[in-house]
Amino acid sequence: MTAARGVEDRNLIPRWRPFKVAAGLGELGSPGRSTSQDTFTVPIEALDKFRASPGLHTAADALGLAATLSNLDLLIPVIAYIDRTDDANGILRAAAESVRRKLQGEPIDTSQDWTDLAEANSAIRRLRGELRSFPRNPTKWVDLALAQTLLGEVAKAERSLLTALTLAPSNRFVLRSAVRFFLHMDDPETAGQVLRHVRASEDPWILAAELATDEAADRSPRSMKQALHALSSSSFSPWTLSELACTVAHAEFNEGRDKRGRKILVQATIEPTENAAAQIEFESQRGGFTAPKAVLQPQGSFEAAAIEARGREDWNNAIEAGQSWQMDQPFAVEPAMFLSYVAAVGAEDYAAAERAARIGRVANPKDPMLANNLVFALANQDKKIDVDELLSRSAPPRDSREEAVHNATRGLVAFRAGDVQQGRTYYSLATKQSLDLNFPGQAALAASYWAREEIRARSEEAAEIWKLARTLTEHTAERDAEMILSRLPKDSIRSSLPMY
Amino acid sequence: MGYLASHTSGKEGFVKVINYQAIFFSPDPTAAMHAITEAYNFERALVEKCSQKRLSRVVSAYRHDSLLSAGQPYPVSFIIFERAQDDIRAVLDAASDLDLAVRLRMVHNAAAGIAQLHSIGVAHQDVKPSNLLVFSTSVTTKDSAKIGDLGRATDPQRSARHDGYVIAGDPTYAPPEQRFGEIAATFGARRLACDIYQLGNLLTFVLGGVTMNMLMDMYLDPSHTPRNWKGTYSEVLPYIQAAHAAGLATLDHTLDDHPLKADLLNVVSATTDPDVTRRGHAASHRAGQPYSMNRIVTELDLLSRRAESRYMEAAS
Repeated sequence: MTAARGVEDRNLIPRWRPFKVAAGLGELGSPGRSTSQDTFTVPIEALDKFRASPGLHTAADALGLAATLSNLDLLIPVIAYIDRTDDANGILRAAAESVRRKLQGEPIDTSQDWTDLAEANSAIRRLRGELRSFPRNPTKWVDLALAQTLLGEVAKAERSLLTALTLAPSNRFVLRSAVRFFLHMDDPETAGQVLRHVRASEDPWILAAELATDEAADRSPRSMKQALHALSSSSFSPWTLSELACTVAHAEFNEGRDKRGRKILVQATIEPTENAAAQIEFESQRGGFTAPKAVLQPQGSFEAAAIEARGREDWNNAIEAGQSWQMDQPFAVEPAMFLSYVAAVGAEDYAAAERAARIGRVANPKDPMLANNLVFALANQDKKIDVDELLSRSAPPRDSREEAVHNATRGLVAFRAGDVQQGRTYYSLATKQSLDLNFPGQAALAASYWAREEIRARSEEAAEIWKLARTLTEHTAERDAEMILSRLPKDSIRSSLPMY
Repeated sequence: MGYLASHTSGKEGFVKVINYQAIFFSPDPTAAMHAITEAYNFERALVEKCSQKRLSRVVSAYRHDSLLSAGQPYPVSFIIFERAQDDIRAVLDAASDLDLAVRLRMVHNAAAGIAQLHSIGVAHQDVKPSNLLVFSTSVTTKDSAKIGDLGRATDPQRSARHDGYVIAGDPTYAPPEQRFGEIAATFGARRLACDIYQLGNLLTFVLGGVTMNMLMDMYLDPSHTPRNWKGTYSEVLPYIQAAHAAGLATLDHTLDDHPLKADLLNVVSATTDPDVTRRGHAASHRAGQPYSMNRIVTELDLLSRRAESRYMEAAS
């Protein structure tokens, strides 16, 4: 048949990015509680000494005032001195540069090229080396786990994460990363265990992760009271609360309390994170309503853009945004499924679909639907494949619906291999299974691709299957099958059909 | 205020004087008078205590007194300290090629001074480059430097105004837990661990040219700086640990491939550990005396000796 679209529901689970990136995005700032701190006078003896006897060490000492001085302009002569002194070592120059960046308000560089799969192996070597020297660095262990997850080394990744959890059992970055990992492993129970000692936290970021974990485990949310309390508190910024608002709204939608869900969702639209923006886009498409535009648009909201473009059937933009989404979360199955589907079914860009599925399969080698989408992309490019080998290397379909999708894809492969009869058998089975399961959209899509293959094979049954497909498309609100049919060459259909 | 002075015998000293004039020009003269005289009396008592205990690695006072000069409306209260060549910053600037052996011996002397203070129950609280005073830069001199300025020290037997501050000394050199407003419950964790951190901070400065605080600030995300963080220290600690590790890695890359490098980095790492419960020498922790300075002093002495013998071998 076809590519599979991936999960039809969206639960806002935490993103997992390298520490430096997550910190740069501001997701690891302190929650809104205030603590009383001493106000102190900063002695500027170091600056006086530098002025009286300028030298690299007096300059270095004065530069240290950058952490405590409120007026950094005082340090401009110090930086200039270090700049123009040839003997300044690299460390002092770097320190002066960091103070200059602060002075000019330049953001710190948060780019991390190692999330590129090609760099993941060398990243693991580097991270391991750093951890050998300084093992008590929980964020580094999490980064190592992420690099290991990218390469599908999940057992090692789990050990790295457990080390991080031992070192920093209550830290937001560590906890949210661990939750994301265990949900990636389809293990919401362990994800819940990770959060057990911070349950009902005052931290909205952790509360959001807890609610998402409960949702993934099919449990009713245990800390809803605390979540609602946090949402009504004025201690947190709208941005800090946006993911929590989305998870609460999602739970309300799932309980059928749409009006309440939409009201809470509006709170997330003020200043959403990119993850919240994607959830808002998803909920509004699922619920058929228009959410208010975000007052402040988040940076890098690739998933939201991808979902939105797909909704408009703007396939090129959906692919572009999907590729950025996959680069941001290369270990995740969701962008790989989305992109391989949209590229193959929407844009008929099978090479892009193949690439997306292959990237996704590095971290998810056993995912049966990703394997399906890879086979679908390969077959459409008439590449020689051993479908049994490819599909059998992955886990078996998780349910009858996935089994139907697999059967349809086997039908496509058989057609392309010239075995029309076997192709027909598989497609017929897939269509029937989908109808029996009450997935009319999936049945229509399978029948549409079946019709396409019959026409390509110039078979006598092409007209009948086309009619079947057209009938099925009329009984579904999903438009993808209709689009497939509309692309079939009119002449071929006309010559096959007595009605023309 | 400070002055250089010399005795008729030729002996030189550094004179620390109470600035009474400033008191009368302050907006609240009585409060200023109280604060300044309290600080003076505190330091005077402490230097007396150090002199009585013959702390050889702490800058000693020759004399303290209050004298009324002719024509002056109020007396001059002062403490005369022994005079050093200069502080470590000026010395390193004057001799940029100063051998590692000499630099290490100076830090060892600072460690010994802190240990001597701890042995009489006093924590210094303000160890920083300007307070490491150098008396000799000869590689053959074992007593090349002393720790000075007890104005921010803590002595459980005498109360001082700064005892109540989260940061008793200069905030620029304070250990991270203090910069984030954490007040440890015990004297050891609050005061002694602070001295150990500041010693490591000083060692980093002597080895790499910048302090560990500066290094960590280079790698801390702006949202995790003391100025912006509103949570507790334990919440921010993993991020401080990440910055600390990055700082150590940078120091590692900066130092030449010296045979002592790994050992030196270990000392820096242990003394500047952002986790106050792990700071200090591992063996001291195992022995149940986590903030004991003895092993740190011994280790720095050993490293200094190794550096000195390498210097001697190279010289011969």
